[in-house]
Amino acid sequence: MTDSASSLVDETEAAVLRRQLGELTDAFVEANEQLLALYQLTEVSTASLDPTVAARRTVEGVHAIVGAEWSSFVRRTAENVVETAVAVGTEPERSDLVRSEDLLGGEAFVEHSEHSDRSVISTPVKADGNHFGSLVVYSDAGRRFTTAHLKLVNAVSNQLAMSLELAAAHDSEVRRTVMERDHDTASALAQAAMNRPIPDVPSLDLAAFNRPARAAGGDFYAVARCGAGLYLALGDVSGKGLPAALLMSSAISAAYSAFDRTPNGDAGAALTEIDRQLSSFLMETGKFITMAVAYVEPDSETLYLSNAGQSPVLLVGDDGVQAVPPDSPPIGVLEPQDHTTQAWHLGAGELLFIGSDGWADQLDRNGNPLSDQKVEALLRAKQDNTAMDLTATLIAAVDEFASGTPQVDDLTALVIRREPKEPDPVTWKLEIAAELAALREIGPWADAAMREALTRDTDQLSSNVELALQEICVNIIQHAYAKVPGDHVIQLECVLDEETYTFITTDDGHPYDESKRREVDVENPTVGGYGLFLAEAFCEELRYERVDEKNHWHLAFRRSAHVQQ
Amino acid sequence: MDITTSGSNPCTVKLAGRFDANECEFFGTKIDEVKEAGQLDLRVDLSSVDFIDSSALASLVSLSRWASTHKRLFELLDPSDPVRVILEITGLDRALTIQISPVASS
Repeated sequence: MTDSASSLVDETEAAVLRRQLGELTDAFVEANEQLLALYQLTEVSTASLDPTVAARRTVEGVHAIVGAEWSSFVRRTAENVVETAVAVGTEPERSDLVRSEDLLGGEAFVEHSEHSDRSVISTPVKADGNHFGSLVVYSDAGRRFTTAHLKLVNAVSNQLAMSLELAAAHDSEVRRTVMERDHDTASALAQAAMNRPIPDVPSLDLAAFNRPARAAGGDFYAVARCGAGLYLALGDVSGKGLPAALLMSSAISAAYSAFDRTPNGDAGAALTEIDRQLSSFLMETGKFITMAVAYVEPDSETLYLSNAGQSPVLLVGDDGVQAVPPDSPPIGVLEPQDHTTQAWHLGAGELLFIGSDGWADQLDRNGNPLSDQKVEALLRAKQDNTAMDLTATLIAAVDEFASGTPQVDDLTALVIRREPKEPDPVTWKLEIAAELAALREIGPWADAAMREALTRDTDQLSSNVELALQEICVNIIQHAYAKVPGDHVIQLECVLDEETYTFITTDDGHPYDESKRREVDVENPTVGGYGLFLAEAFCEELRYERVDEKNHWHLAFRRSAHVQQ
Repeated sequence: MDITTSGSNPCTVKLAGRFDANECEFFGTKIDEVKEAGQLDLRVDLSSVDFIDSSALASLVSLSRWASTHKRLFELLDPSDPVRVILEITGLDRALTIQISPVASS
């Protein structure tokens, strides 16, 4: 080979080498870009919870990996229209495109069109039965995709399906969270409607309690003063969540409205009114409400009840626990109906418990319910407690029983207890002439009054009472009746209660003038001024009042603990 | 209330029973009789008084002031427990002269 020939060969080889190097470089760059695209694709599923963004990134990725002319994500809308949600590259001539319907057939395929001399790959994007759409990739004209490309695009489709599934799950979770928040808000509003101050009625001891379970249940209560008595209502809306919470608010409003409209204390009429307000809506929504309405007055031992399917409604007395059965089905089960009133006896010291089923249904760690029997036993054991203490005991018992097990249902209770009657105060009376000679009658009378009460009080207390009373009576004779012509009397009364003797003197003489009272200075004795000083010294409390032109002195003496019965 | 007298300057006036507003006039009358008889130094024996009130205290304070003015002896003798309690409460146990006889103190 000549030098020139050799040189030509060298140049040719060099050109080939340069070309090969160029191709290798291009291939390397392309491979690098494809690797980068692959890397970015792996991040798509976790980087975005927005389905549109995920689809765009995926389409861009697959476009780069396979070196496509046009890549797209095609899907069917809610209105059943096929749309190209995302597209990258240059769209081929319409005549070169595969029919949209064929792209969404649910099967992966690779086709080469002899007409356009280009390939198309379509792979379904689906996961767990959700068919989100198809990933569609067109090659350049004159380039042919292979099954290897199909597998690659299919893998990317699966990746996109996972991303869309994740986004859908996230969206669902967001919706659920928003709904839960709405439930909680509705429940809080209903709770607020319940949280009215409990009316204070003499001799009726009342406690109300509600602790909703996590899933916003529908328990509610309403308490309102009506005339001399109290209306009480407790109910449970069927179901849980937002609808129950909304119905609960409506039921509370209906109850208060019904109480206002039936001021005669007719529990059945009040329940009928509640039924009239709620039942049509309940029937439309397929819900119902169990509810008991009670009316009780402080001066009557009769309790009026109307029970529409509520349980437990229990009367607890010395004879045990008596369940008040429902006298009508729950509200909303039937067309609006007239509810009847049952009259029950609620004597002093007896109580009415209206509760929800959450108490008995509470589960322990082993899944055993507390049971109605245990609730009744607790009520019976704590019957003498105040309504508040009894409720607190019940709550503590349920919590202890649950020992960390989540609360199964709302815990709601109304407890009303007729307070035991205080014994009537024992009263003794004496009337003496407003004369000094009559003072002798005070001592024996006061002593007899205290001894008649069988209190075995000491002689010392008796003499203290006598001295204090005598000082007051001397004041009345010498000052109140001073220069008042005619005969006068002083009335004395002794009232005995659990802790004190109270002696009251009554006269119709001149009013007592505190400003004229002489203060006693033990360092500088005076001739007078010791009367009120001694009376105050010997009694627990000395009080004067002028009522209806009469003077009343109240002298209270504390019974020492050891002599109280 | 029973009142008996014994001795002479000092004359002991012994009271027994209730000494209260209703007896003050009687007590005053008796004391006047004693003074008119020339017995101006007085001891009032309260050992048998079982009840005393503020009016009686006022009588004793009044008598004590008269004696002080006329520089005569005036003493309370052996007050019973009910009387002693009242004297202590009112502070008169410090303002009035009180004698406890050896027999009473034992």
